[in-house]
Amino acid sequence: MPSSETMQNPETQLNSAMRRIPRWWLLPCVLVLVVGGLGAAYWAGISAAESAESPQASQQTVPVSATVERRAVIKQVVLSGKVVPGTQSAIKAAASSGIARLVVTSAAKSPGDELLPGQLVAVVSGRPLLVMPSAVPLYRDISPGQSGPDVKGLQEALTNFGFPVPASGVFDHGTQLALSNWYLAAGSKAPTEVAADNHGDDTNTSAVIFRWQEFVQIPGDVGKIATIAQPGTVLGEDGIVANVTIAPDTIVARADVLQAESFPVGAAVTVRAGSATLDTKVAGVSAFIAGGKDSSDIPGKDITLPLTAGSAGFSAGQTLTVTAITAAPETLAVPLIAIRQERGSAFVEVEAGPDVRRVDVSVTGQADGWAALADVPSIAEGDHVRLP
Amino acid sequence: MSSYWYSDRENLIVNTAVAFLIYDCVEDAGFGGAPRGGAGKALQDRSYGQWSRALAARNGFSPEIRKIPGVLDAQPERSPVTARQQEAETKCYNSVGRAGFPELLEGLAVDQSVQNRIVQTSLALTDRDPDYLSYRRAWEDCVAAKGLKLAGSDSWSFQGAASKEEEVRMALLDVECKDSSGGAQLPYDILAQYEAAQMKDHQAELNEVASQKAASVERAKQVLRDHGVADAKL
Repeated sequence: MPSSETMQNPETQLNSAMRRIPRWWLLPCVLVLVVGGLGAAYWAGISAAESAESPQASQQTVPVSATVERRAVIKQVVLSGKVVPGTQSAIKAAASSGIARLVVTSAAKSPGDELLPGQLVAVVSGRPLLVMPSAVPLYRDISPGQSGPDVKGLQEALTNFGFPVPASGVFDHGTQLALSNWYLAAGSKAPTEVAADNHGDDTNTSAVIFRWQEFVQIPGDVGKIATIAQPGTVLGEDGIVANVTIAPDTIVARADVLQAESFPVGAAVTVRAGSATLDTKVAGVSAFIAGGKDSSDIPGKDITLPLTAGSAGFSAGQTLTVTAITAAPETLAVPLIAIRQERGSAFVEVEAGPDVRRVDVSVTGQADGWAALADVPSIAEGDHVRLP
Repeated sequence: MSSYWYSDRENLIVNTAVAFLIYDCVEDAGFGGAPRGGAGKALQDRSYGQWSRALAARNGFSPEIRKIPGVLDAQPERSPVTARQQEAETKCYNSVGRAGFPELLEGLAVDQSVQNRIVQTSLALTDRDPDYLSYRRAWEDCVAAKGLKLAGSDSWSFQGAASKEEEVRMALLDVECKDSSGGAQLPYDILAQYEAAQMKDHQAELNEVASQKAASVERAKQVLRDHGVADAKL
């Protein structure tokens, strides 16, 4: 009996011949091919790299050299410092009898103006405030005929202001006249009182008196107006009309005893605070200041520099650096890394054609990555020294 | 080598423990008392003179003094004790002694320890090392050129300064010369290299010292704990 297979009709056979065989094995085949390809590429790359890095090639070094120069190798001395605020003195008005409150009537000065003895500061509640030299002892009102060292001081001051009067020490008519003229020059009238020598005369005559509260003094007798109340200002209880700078802002930097040797008085320095730069000169060097136990300041000397008015970027309390500008002679110099050491001796390798020769050197200074060399005949400017 | 000596802090811990044990003895004798406490002090190493420009500018040749945090708060100065108590305290000082705590401090006189032998040998080797000798010669030439006079031919100190300002100046010049001669650190490095070689040869003995030191410090800490000192202070 024929099998059922052999008994299939032609249509069935055709269908059987055309059936699709599942190709699930194709996926792993592709994966194997891809991974194999990658592996081969990696191997090829490694082989190529290995062949490129032959032992001979890897041991080759390219010599690096630097040119011997003639330059000033300056070791800059830099200090830390700060702007120390200057000293100010307050100018105060005092209320006299008959004045209810202190109001600035007019200001004779503006901020920045210099203030000297003999000058008018302002008029307060109708009375002037005049500057008297600090040597004059101000402590009382002076009436005609009174005498004392204060009168003598006043007479000397009046003479200096251009109102000459003998320094008799007595507040006499000549002194009153000179005082009156000073007031007039300042745009005011001197205060007066009824003269004591009327002797029954019906006509009241008045005599000039000295009212001490209408005068102010500045420590050191010179200053600059820092602030001044404007006309119309009602003064506070303290009566402050103006603040006068009697010592300007200064720059102070502490140097240790060796650093201080680079900052003698008059030495040129550069001050830097942020982007602000100031070229100035050392104004003063203090005596040695021993550091306190709890002080963070090192023992040394304070270097003082003037801060000229209008120096932008330097405000009181600001920290800064002060650099000494030191002139140094030009010497042979090489980059510091060219200096080699052996048994405590310094030497450089100077290129001579394809070879190098060792030259012992003496390093005289170093700064900013450069070493200054003492002159030796075997090294000249333009030579090349090997760098390690 | 420093790890085979008590550190400054470890020394303070051990000393405070010993003080507690002495006062235990004094208490047993019927008297009161307690260790004084407070911070300890440690001085800057100056084996080869001043080595720091910053410290020279601040102290001249005087050593920088470091404060070692104390185990106990400082006690107020105690009032004078009676003669009987004084006698009891002396007796206890003698009987308690170091209470079995080893003296692991560098620089003690007549110290026969392996650490001290290593240090002494290394110092001697350093003294004849060519690099050291060359450094020393360069430094001597430099300080002489700056007008400084040595206190002795082998000394790293100088003849006395007239003022503190002069002392600071001399100390700064000293450091400047060390820098230009190869660096202030150089002799210390050479010494350390000799010490390292010596330590290799005596490693077994040093390991023993290290264990002894660790045990001593741990025992001291236990004594302090037993006397109410908090772990945070140890």
